[in-house]
Amino acid sequence: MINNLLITNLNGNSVFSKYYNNLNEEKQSEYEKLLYQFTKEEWGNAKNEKHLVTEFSGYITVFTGVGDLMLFLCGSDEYDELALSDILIPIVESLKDICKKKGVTEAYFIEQIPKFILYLDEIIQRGHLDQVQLESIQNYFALKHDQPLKKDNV
Amino acid sequence: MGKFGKKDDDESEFLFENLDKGQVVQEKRAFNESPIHPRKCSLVISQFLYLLSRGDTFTKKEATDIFFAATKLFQSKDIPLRRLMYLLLKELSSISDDAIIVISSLTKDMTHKIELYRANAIRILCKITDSSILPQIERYFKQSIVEKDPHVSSAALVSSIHLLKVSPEIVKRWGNEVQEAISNKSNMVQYHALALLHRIKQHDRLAVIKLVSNLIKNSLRSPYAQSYLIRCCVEIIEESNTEDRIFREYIESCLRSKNDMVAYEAARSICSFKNVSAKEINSAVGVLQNFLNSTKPTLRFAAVRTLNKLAQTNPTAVVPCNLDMENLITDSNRSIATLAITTLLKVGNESNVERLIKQIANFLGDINDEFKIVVVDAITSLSQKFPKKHKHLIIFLNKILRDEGSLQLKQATLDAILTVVNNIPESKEIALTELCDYIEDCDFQDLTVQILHLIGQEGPLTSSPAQYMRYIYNRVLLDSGIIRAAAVTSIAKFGLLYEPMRDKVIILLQRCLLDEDDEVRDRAILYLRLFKEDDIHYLSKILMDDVPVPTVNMQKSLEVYLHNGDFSEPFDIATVSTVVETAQSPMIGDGKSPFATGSKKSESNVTSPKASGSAANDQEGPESYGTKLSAIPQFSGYGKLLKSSEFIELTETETEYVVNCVKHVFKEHIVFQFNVTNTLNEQQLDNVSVKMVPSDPKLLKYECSIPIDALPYGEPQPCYVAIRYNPANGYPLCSFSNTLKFKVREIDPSTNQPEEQGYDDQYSLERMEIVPKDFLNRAYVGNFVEEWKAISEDNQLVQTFSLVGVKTIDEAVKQIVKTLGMATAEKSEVVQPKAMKHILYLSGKSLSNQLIYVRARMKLDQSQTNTDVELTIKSDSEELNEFVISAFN
Repeated sequence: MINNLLITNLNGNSVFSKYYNNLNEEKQSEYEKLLYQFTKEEWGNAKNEKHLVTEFSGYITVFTGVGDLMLFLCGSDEYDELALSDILIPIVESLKDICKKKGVTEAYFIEQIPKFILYLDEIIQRGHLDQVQLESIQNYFALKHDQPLKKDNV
Repeated sequence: MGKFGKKDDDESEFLFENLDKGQVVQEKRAFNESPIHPRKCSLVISQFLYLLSRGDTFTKKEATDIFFAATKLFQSKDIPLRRLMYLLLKELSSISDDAIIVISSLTKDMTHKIELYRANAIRILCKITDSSILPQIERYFKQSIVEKDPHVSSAALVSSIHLLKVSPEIVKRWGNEVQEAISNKSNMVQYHALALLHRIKQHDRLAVIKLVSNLIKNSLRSPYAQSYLIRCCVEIIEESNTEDRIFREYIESCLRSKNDMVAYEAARSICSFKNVSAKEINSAVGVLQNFLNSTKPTLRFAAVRTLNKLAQTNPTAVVPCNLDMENLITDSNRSIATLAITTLLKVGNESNVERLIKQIANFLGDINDEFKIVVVDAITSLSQKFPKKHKHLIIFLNKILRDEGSLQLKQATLDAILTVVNNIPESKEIALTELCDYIEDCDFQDLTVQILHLIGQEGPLTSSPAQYMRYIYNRVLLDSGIIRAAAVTSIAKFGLLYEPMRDKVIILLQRCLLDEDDEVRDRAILYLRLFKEDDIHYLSKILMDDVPVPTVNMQKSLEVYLHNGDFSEPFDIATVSTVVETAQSPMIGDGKSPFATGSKKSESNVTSPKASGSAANDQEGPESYGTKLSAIPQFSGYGKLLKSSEFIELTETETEYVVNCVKHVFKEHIVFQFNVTNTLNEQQLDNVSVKMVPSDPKLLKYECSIPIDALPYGEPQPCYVAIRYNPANGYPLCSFSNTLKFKVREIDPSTNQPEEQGYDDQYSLERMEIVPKDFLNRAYVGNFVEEWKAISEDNQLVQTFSLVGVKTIDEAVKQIVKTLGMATAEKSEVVQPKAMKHILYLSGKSLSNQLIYVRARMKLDQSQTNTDVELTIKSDSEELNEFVISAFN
C-alpha cells in the first residue's frame, strides 16, 4: 500500500502529512527522523522535481523538491520505487497547479492545503492508487475556486 | 473582518495561521444557517481540513457534533461545497459516533445525476458501512462498478477492495460486474478491476488461472494493470507448478515493453524465480543493465536493488553489470551508491576485491554515517569470504574509525574489527597496532575503554607484547579517570599473561598509586598486592573472569540492597538472577513492522541504524519480578519470591500467537507468568488466559487465574495462573498441558478499532514441566575443593547413569549444568577440546538456603556415542540429595 505522503519545508519541518497505514504518532516521528537522516544531504540533488529514492526499515521512499518544499512518498509491496515515482508526478503537478498564482512557496502552499487535500483525495484513496492522470484529477476535482477564499467574503 | 477588508490578496496568506481549534469548532454553526452560505461554509470546512492535516485531533464528541452539523449541507446544491462536505464527512466518519445516519442521504447520492456526487458518496459509504448494511445498498455498488464514467467506476472498485476486508462474502458476489469493468475504456478502471477481481478469486486457483490466461491474450493498456498481471503470473507459476508456458512467455514478452514499469516488473520477476534458465536470466539482467544507465534515479535504484537480491542467489548472473555498477559507486543518490557497493562486494572475487575497497575508500568522505554503517557491515561479511584480504579490510575499517563520524558509526566499526579479529587470528597483530594508534587520539571514552580491554586480552598473547605497553601507559598519563582505570587493568593483564613483563608491570602499577582518581588507585593497589603475594589464581579470577551475572541485574540487585538499608548480612552475588528479561522484539509477523530493533541484518541492505536505545530502556531485570508480582493483589500474600525460572517458549516464535512462560516459585505457591504476543494486526484478542491441566492433580491446588483484558497487535502482555502446593509433601514435580483461550475481535481496517462482535477461540501450547531446577538456586563458593573436602562422606549420595546420545564431553557438561541450574565452580565448565573424560563441579542451594555441592565425573563410553556420569552430591540433608538427583530421572 501507499504508506504516507509527507511534505516539509527545506528545514525539514513538516508542513503536511498524511499517513495511510495507521502508524501511531511515535512510529511516525521515528520514521520522519530516519527519513531526515537518510536523505537530508541529498535534498539539493532533488531540486526541480528530480525524483530520488531511499530505502530503510524495509520501506522505499521516493522524494523530490518543488519550489521551497520537499515531497516524500513512501510505499510497500506493489507500490515500489517506480510506481511511487509515477504517482508522485500528479501529486507534484497538483501542487503546482494550486500554487500557480504565486509559485510554490511554503506560506502559499499552507494556505492552499484544503485544495490540495481535495486533489490528493482523487489520487490516493486510503492507501490505494485511484487516478494518475492529471487532467482527470482536475476534472473530478471540479472545485472552481477562481477567487481565493477570504475572510471578507464570509 | 474590517481589518482584512482593506488589504488585497496578500492578506490571505495568513488565513490559516494561528487557527485555534476551539474557535473553529464553534464556527460549525455556519452549517445550520438558512439559507446556506456556500462560501462561508467552504471556508469553515477548509479550516477543519487544515486542522486535520496539521495533526490536530478532535474528541469523539467534537467530531460527532461537526459531523452532524455538516450533514445539513446535503441540502446545498453548490458543487464545490458538496465536494468539501464529502471530504469532511469522510475524514470524520471514523472518529464520529453514529456515522451510519448519513447512509440514506449517501445512498440517494449514489444515484444522483452528477457523477461527482456518486463517486464521493461511494467513498464515504465504504468507510462507514458494515456487513449488516451492505446487503441493502449492494445493488448500487454493482451499478456503480459497471458505470461507464471512470470516476464513479474507479471509486466503486477501489472502495470494494476496502470492503473486501469488511464483508468478503458480499463483495465476492460482484464478480460478474467487476469482470465487465475490466473492459472499461479507462486505463485506471482496468487496473482497479483486475486488482479487485484477483483478490475476489484469490482462493480459487483455477479461477485465477482462467482469469489470467484470458487477460494475457487481450492486451491490457494500463501499465499498472500489466504489472499487476505479471505478479499474478508469478503467483501462478510459483504456487501451481504449472507446465503451461504461456505465463512465462507473457512475462518474457513484457521484458520488451516500452513502459519502464512493466519491463522492470518482468525483469524483477524472472530474477526471483527459483528455476530459471540462463537465457531467461540473461535477458532479464540485460534489461536491468540498461536501467543502470538510465538518467532517472528511481530506475537505477530499482535495477541495482534487484541485482543486489540476485547476487545472493546467483552472483555469476550479475557479473556482466559490474562495470555499470562501479560507475554507480559515486552516484549522487546515496541509496543507489550504497546498494551498488554492497552488490559489488557480494559478487567480488579475490582478485578485484582489493581494487574495489580502494575505490570505495576514495568516496567515503561523501556519504553520511547511516550509509557508512551499511558499508561496514558489507565489509565485515567480506572478511569471512576472503580471509586473506584481512589486512586491507582492517586498514579500511580503521580509516572509518579515524575519520569524522558519530559514535554509532564508530561503535559499528569497532564491532566489525572485533569480528574480523575473532574470525581471522592472523589479523590480530595488525588490528592491535592500528587500534593502539587510534586511541592516541580518540574522542570517545567508551571506545577507548573497549579497545584497552581488547589490548589487555589479546596483546600479551602476541609475538611481542612489550610494544603495546607504551600506548597503554600513555593513557594513564593523559586521559580521564575511567580510561585510566581501564588502562591499569589492561597493564595488569600483561603482567599476568606474559611473565617476562611482570616486574615492569609492577613498577608501572606502583606509579599509579598516587593517582587522584579513587578507582584507579584501588585497582592499582589490589593488583600490586596480589602480584606481590604471587596469588596468580585469584588475580586471574578477578582479571580474566567475567562477572557471572548480567551487569544490568547486578546493578538492580545492588540498588535494591542499598535501598533496603539492611546491611547486617553482606551482599550475596548468588541472589542476582542470571536471566535477562529482554523486551520482546517488536519484529514480528510480517517482519515488516517498521523500525524493529535488531532488524539490522534483515533482508534489505539499507537498514535502519540500530534503534538500540529503546531496547535498552525496555529491559527489566528479573529483580523487578518480585515487586511487580507483589503489586498484584491476588499474589501479595504469597510472601517473598524465592526463584524465577528463565523463559520457556511454549510456541514457535513465528506463529500467530507467541507465548512464553516464566515460573515464579514462592514458599507455598507457584505463579506461572505467560507472556503473550498477538502477531496478527487484523485482530484484537480479549480475555486471554491459559488453561493448564496438570498430569498429577493431587500434588497441587488451583488458586487463581488473571487474564489479559485486551491484547492488541504487537504489544506483549502477561496473564497469570497461580497454584498452591504443600512443601511438607515435597515439591509438585509434574507436567502440564496448556491451552491458550481467548476471544477474537477483528480489527475494522477503516477505523482501526476492533469490531463489537467476536468469537471464542483457543490455541494449543506446548507442554511444560515443573522440574527440580525450579527449586534450586545458584551459589558461589570461594574454594570448591576445600569446601568439598570439609563435608563428610556420610552426607553424600552417589549415583551413576548414562547420558544416551551425548557424544562429546562438552555437550554433557552443558546438559548437566542446564538440568541442575547451579553455578559452576573452579572453571570446571571449560572442557579441553576432544577430551574423553572430565570432572565438573557445581554449587547451589535449596530455597531454604541449604548449600549443595555436586561433583560430576564423566567419560565417553567405548562406543563414543554415550557419556557415562558418576554424580556425587553433598549437602546436609539426605532428602535434598535425593531431590537433586531426581532431576536426572
